[in-house]
Amino acid sequence: MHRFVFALVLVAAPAFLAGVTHAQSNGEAPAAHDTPPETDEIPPGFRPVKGAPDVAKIDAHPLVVGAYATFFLGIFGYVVYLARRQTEISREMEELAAQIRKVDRA
Amino acid sequence: MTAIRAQLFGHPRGLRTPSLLVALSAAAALVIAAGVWMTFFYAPEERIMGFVQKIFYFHVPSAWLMLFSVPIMAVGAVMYLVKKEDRWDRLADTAVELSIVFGMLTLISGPLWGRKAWGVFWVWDVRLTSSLVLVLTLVATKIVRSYAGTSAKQIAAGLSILAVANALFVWISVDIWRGTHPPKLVQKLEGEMWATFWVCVLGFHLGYAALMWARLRVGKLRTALDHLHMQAAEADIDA
Repeated sequence: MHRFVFALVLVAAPAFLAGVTHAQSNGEAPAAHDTPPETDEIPPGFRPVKGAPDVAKIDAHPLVVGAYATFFLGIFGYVVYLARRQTEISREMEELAAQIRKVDRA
Repeated sequence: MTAIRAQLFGHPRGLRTPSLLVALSAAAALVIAAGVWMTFFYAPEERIMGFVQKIFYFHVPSAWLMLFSVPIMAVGAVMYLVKKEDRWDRLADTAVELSIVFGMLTLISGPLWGRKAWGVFWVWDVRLTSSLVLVLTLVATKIVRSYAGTSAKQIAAGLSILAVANALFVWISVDIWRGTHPPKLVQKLEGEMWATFWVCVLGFHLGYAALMWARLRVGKLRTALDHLHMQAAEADIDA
């Protein structure tokens, strides 16, 4: 059952997602590769909230750094959490094994 | 000690991490590192959104994995309710945890992007709100496991199934209602952006598989140890 789940995650899911997006593709051209010009054009789906600060004046670099730092800290934090749980299990196992040995000797 | 470890866990290596899991984790780390490099040095800046659009390459895979965990959780929950076997409950619990982790990453990275795109960190847009409700439902599922007594697993299983409807709503909301969150843009990617995005997706899926394996393993060891404690207590060994 576990092998099936892992195979699904590794192979089927990205392949399925790629197939879905390919099927939905309407062949529109991608965004241009040039440096973004200064423009008042609003991207589709993005509408500045009324009363919000001028988004052109907001520096994007700290936001991107913050987002990527969050990803890595979040994943690393979860890995540390799993490692600590495993260490706890290992310690309990050692204690239980010591008790069994004590009883065996007795 | 080796003999005792084998007796406790049925395998002389006991708690040693499987080498395949180590390899999978290393592969995930390498692919994610490649994805980060491609994001900042290969994929071009988006014409209108500019540099902040780089968040897209990690934000979308995180959101996908948050939603992808939900059916896995539901399968585990339904199978546990039907068969009452611990391994299905462990699968559901693992999927809930991973969905929460990737959901939090999505809910933090998205507003950082929104700050630049919309001028504010958060709007009560249908997709954002339903994603928040989904993560809160999953957190409630974890809390219920700890505090709901003997029926905790059944109640958690029920909440997990409820979360499926929420996850479906998150997925389709942006297609039905024209809110502040942009519509699905993945199918419009081409060239370097397309390649960078799918490398990041692959890295995230490999990492997800490794985390799921590790978490399931911890859960299995915990369950086995709990049973051994019970047996030891019955034999008057466990102090």
